[in-house]
Amino acid sequence: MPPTLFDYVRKALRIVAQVQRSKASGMLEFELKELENLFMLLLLGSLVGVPSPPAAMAMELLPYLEDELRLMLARADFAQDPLGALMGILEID
Amino acid sequence: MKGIIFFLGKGGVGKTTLSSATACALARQGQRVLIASLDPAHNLGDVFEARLGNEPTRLAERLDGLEVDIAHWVARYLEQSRVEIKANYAYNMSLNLDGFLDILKYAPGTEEYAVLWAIEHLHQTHRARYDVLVLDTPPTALTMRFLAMPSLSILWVRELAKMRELILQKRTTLLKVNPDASVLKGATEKKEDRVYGKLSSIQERLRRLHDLFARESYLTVVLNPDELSLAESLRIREELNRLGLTLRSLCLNKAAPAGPVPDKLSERFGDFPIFSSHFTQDGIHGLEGLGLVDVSGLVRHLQAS
Amino acid sequence: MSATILLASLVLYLVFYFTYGKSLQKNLIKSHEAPDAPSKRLSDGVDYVPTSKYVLFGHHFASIAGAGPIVGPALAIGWGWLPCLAWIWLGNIFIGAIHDYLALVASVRYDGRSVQYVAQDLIGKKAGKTFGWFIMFLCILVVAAFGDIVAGQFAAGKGEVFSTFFLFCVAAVIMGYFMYQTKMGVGLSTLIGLALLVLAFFLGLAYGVKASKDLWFLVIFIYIVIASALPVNWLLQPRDYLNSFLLYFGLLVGGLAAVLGAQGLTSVPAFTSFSATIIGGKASPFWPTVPLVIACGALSGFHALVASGTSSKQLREEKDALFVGYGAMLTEGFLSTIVIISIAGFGALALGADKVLTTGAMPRFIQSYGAMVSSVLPFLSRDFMNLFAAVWVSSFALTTLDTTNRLGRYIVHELAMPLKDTSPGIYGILQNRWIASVIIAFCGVGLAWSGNYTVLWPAFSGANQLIASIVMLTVAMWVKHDLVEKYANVVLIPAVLLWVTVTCGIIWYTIVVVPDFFKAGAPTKQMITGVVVGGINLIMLFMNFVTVAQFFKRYGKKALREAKA
Repeated sequence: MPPTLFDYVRKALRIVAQVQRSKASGMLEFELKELENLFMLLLLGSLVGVPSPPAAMAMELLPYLEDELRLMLARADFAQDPLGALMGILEID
Repeated sequence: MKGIIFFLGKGGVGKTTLSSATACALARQGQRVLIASLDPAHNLGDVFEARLGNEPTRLAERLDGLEVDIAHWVARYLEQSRVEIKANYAYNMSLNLDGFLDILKYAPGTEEYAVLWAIEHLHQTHRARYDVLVLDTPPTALTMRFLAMPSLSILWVRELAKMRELILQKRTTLLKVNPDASVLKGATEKKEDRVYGKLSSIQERLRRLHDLFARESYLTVVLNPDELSLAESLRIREELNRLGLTLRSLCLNKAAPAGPVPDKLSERFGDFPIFSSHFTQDGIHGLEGLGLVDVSGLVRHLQAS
Repeated sequence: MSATILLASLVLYLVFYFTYGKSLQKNLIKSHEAPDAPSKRLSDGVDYVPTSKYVLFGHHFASIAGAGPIVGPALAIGWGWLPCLAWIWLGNIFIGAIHDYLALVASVRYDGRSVQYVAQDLIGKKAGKTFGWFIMFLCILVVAAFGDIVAGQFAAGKGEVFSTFFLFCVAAVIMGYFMYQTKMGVGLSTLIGLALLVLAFFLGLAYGVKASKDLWFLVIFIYIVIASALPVNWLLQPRDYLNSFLLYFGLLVGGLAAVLGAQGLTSVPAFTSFSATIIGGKASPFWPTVPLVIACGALSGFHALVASGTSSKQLREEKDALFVGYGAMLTEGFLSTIVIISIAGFGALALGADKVLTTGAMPRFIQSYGAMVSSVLPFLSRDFMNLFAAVWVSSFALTTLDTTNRLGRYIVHELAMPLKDTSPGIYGILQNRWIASVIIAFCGVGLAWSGNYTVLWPAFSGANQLIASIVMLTVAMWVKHDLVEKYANVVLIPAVLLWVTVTCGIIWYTIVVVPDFFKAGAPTKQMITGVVVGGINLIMLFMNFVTVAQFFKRYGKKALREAKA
């Protein structure tokens, strides 16, 4: 059955709702990612030369932090070039 | 009777001999005693003229002994992590962890951590079979480090746990507002988050160990009548105070026969219980020799507390 | 006539989108042959997440839309509405939107890296450093310009703008509490927020807070320092969210009124003179200074950075870049068109036929907009719509003040890096986020206090457009070396023209406007402004020339890759 006007309107409204949801949470999302990154740095810093708790304790937790580890590695890359994302998330204009 | 008796002190002051003699005395009195050496020098076997290993070896009636192999505990500790990591990582995770784990055994902090778990293991495994655990500690530096570890780490782990809780809260909030948000889709509830669970269990373990050291242990320092020994003993007491642990007594070894306690000692320590011992010239060996060492004062004090 | 103009802009944008834009995409960018977008290739569920182009468009548009597309045209209408529209339409279509679009695509091809990174890679380290400094200056100057505008708004009338804004903040905090701390859903919290927002307007209209402009500067300074230190979910995030509703309402109602009003554009002449009095009370030649006045509605450098931030990492396919990058910028042009129409069509109704060009830019827009909407949609009272327009601008401006402060801390830190070894003391001081925050706020508000926005806004635009011209040059380099060499001139020529225009504009500004600060009898604070603004301009010009020199040195090289090795 070909999409009716009603379907288009519904789809449009859904998209608008999604955009607004992202608007209501964009900065929170950014903040959360940074918090998770920091958690990992504090915990695993010893593995990369940052003074932190015993590497041994970090190893105990490592098995459960696979996703966070990926995030930390991604963020290490981001930290070299954060300007674009910062300007996007912080409404400058 | 306290659960664990720690003999602290510099190398060469006579810890091993005194701790062994005390263990014998307690065993003779009817206690079931396990004496364990954490000292990598492992003089315990020499003093008892026996071969000691990781498992208790009968030394005398109601007296067993063992030597804790710290390197073995470090490896065992790391192996546990290695197994868990392998079980949990996705197959395409290309970290070469084996290499890391080998380096870790040299990392600062791993050794004292392993000692802690060794003590915990000893305490838990053997509490049914023995009344007392006598510990001959490694050199002071390492001993102070592992004694400090529970109190130091507890603060740290508590902060990490709080941070984790905050992360979980924010995840919940964010997903509520925007279910499509691109964040780590992990747990959002404390009870489902394995990391939080692990942090809590580490906290719990550390707290139990701290309680073990603070409330169920008797700590005594062995020293010789010289300046260095005295200075060290003062430092140890200060440090233990800072950690919330109490030093119960001093054992002055190699004191002049029937001589008075040196003035400085009484000046600094006041009416702190001090027990003097005096050994024969060529050291003490074997059960007979140990039986000759007079530790009655210490034993009485032990039983009183 | 207003309806015609509005519809004409719509048609024009659409036509060029589908012809010029699509042709660029097919023949120059060749998105259909491009590798998969990084959102798919590098998908990590965290930053690289393929997202629908409609959602991204909404995101991107909301990020680039603010008070900028309003302030510029309001100032520029002094030249007459025709040249303004010409720049807003043609400048946007051929330069501004292209700039946004190409920056976005370049970033996509560079795996989502920022345009600063791309510039550094293609032109050289100096270009990267230049970006950092220009953004620093941009931050200070935008705070200065917006600070002055907001303080002016707060001091005007019966002080109803401040009270509405204050209640708006309260509404945002309350809504934020419901949305983030309780189980109430997004929908219900939004409704509560909107209801409180409307209430804020009614209460604000009734109860104003009067104070001197100087006092408002102090209030704004304190606001910046405090607001930028708060956790984002308290005030910034919910207010940003509610701001978007102001934007949609303003656009919708404005567009509707412009069409239904069918008013002739008679309040302002189609063309006044080539050098109308616009910037700092000086006769400002349309060329080269129009980019310094109308920035965000036609061309804006920092959009490139925004595009190369999250947008490039989330494009599902490279083809979507046209819609998101080119399309969003055109939509902003649409907003600026409405601003021009409102003043040119309804200014006389609002202010009196001969007063339109003599009134200040902001009151000009606010009253015209208010008159436009209330005359066509009478259930919205004039006072209410005036207040709405004022709060619309102020709220976006104040958000910018907050976020620029946050961004500025990072920039200060980055720029201070070289001091780490040479002057560790100073470096240590600048590292402290409170100090960095206060420094930025102080510089910005200080300039606002001693200058005025007809001078500060063009200075900000100067920094902004210099960034734009470097971005265009970067993209030209990219096209030449990584894409189709024979089409390189399609981008290079506009890039060079733009660069020449902007550089001449800034030189004009430095020679004509800045000396005014130092004329005989000028108060000290004015001289300080002159020193700061003049100094910034001179530094920017210097860095500009250095970067461009490096650009031309590299551009000529046949094989860039070997040249860099």
